[in-house]
Amino acid sequence: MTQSTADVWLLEGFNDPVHGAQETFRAVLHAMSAPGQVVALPSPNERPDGISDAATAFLLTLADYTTPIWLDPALARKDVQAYLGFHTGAPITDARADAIFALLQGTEDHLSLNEFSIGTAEYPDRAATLVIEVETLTAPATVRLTGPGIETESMVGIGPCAPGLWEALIKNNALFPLGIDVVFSAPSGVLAVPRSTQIEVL
Amino acid sequence: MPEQHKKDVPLDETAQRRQRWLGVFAKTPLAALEQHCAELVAEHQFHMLRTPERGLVMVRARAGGTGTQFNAGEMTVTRCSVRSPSGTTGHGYVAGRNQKHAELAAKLDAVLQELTPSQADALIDTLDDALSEAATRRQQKSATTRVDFYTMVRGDDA
Amino acid sequence: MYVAVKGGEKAIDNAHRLLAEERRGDKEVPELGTDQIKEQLGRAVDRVMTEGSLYDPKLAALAIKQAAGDLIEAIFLIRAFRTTLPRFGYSAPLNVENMRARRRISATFKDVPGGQVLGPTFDYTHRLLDFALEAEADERGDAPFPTQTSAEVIDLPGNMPRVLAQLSREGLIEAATPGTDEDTAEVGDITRAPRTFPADRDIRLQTLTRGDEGFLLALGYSTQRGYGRTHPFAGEIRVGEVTVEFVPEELGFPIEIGEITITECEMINQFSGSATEKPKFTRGYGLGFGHVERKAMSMALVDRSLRADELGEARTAPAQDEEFVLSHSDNVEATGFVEHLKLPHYVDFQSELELVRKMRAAVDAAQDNQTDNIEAAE
Repeated sequence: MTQSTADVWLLEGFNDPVHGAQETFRAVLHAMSAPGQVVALPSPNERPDGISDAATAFLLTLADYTTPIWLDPALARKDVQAYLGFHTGAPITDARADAIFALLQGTEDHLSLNEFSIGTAEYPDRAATLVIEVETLTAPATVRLTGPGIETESMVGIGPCAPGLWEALIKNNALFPLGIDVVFSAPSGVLAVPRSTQIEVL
Repeated sequence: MPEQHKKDVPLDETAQRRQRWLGVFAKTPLAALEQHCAELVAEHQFHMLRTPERGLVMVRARAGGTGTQFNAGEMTVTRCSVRSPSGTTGHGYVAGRNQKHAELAAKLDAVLQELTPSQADALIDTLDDALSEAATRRQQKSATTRVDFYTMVRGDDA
Repeated sequence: MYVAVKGGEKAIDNAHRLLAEERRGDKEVPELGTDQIKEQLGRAVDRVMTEGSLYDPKLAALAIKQAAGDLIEAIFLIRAFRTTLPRFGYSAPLNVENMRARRRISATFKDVPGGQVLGPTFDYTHRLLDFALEAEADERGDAPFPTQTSAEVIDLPGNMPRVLAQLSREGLIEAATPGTDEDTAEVGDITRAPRTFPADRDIRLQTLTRGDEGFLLALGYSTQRGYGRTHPFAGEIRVGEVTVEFVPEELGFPIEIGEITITECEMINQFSGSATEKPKFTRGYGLGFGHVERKAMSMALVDRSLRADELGEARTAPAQDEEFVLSHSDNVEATGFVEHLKLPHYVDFQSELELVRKMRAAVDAAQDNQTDNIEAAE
């Protein structure tokens, strides 16, 4: 247990917590129901360094004391933990398997999606949702997405794209109705690839 | 980053002291808190980190008082967080739905961290004494209902 | 099946207006303030808090006023209100050892450390209507509490030793200390996850705490009358104040967030032993918000009855059937399902009507046939 956070400078969250969270929730719902589409999110007043506005808004809205968050080691800093702890009440966990949300850096060379919860047959909703930070959601398309929420197809390119990422997500789709859900976040907003989405690498 | 005014004080001690006064602020009725402490915060412009927010805490209890834990039911709680002009963060958590109470508790938490321990203690002692007195008065009334039961001998075969 | 109907908007508006008028009653009589309800109808407030599962006397008083004194309706209002608030988290387990008890009695030992303290109780009243209360002023209530001479002032100990601890030391009663596994196990929460059967004791106790007082009273009574006897004694009943501790994520250490009044009841029940265990006493536990003694006692009886499986007792009585008890104890769920029968079921009933007509026609036809056959045989 941390004894005190008195020495950490707390940053502000949404200017208006209720409406900020409502707007974000609506936008994330849209992103999840239309995989591959880039959806803009409201920006919080302040956020810890190294995390995008979109990822911050996402966690401020969806995380609470019942949803442990796993942080990429590069982001598992005291100020990030204090910020998320203060605004969401969510515990930070070191164990990937315990995480309901996870914040990962897409720029890493070996991005691993392993060990996160894929849910159970009785409770597929207990799977983790991964927020993967990338620089752009509008890079030249490298995959074709099809499936629920996509009328014909959705051509997607994210950058940078860690090697093996799409292959891992193809395997993840095969687990449906189990599997993790992924939300890519970038300065322009978020783009969701839920477990139900079929992926074809071009 | 904020000024580190308490570098010489071990962290645990600060936490312990905050723990005590946050409890006293929560338990002291708002009117009494305002009477004793309002002027301490009146002069300052505080920055709101979290405007007073009403919510719930699920109260846990234990079977038989010491056994298996269970969730007994919720209670209303209001919380607030502020930053003082000199950069100290203050948090207030109070039972009930009184937003003013939570706000005053948060401001006092920030201000008291900036006082010397003896100044802060003097203030908290006053409030704490008032709380103990009220509890004692309540219990003294109950103490007048203490009984000794005598077991009566039954029948004629005594 | 329920089929929706439309219309009646104006009639409904008027019905609500009429309800408000009736609630207010005769305007010659001063309106009741929620502070009056909170201060002067404390037992009603406590019941609404306990079964509404939300500790907030002011809100409970408001709900009682709005519901015109219909307590189940008030409980419903409280349950609905709680869904509008975010939850900050779970408190630390209440430390009832530090309760400042205002009432503490034991029916099993006359000499208990800390003494028998009656506190405010109906127990020794004569149940004679006090017509003095009908007059405007409540003279006894208004009279100042007699001040004690200093010789009479006795301080109650801040923490009274628990009565059952005495038996525990002799090994005559089962322990109420959880094993380490039990204490680190996740505590079930019926407000977050649906109940499944068999239910663990944490789930049972949470359900019983918010359960209907009348239902639990009747079940508890049934066990005393022989439907699953548990040989109960009221080991200890306490009413008093406890502080609630909570660990805010941003502080990382526990702080006291306030004081609540609770009632606790520990029943002591005989257990005749099993193949592996010697005879001993067992426990049943009851707890509620405010001063809710009848509820806490009933709950303790039912809690003990529901431990039948755990203690190797045959489940023969309603109070031992956890699926029956837990599924029917919530008065908000119960009233919802019973009262929904008032809503229009016109389409359902039409189809039932047709069906019954058809069945009757079939019976008539069969009878006619039979008569024809008999006639033919003759």
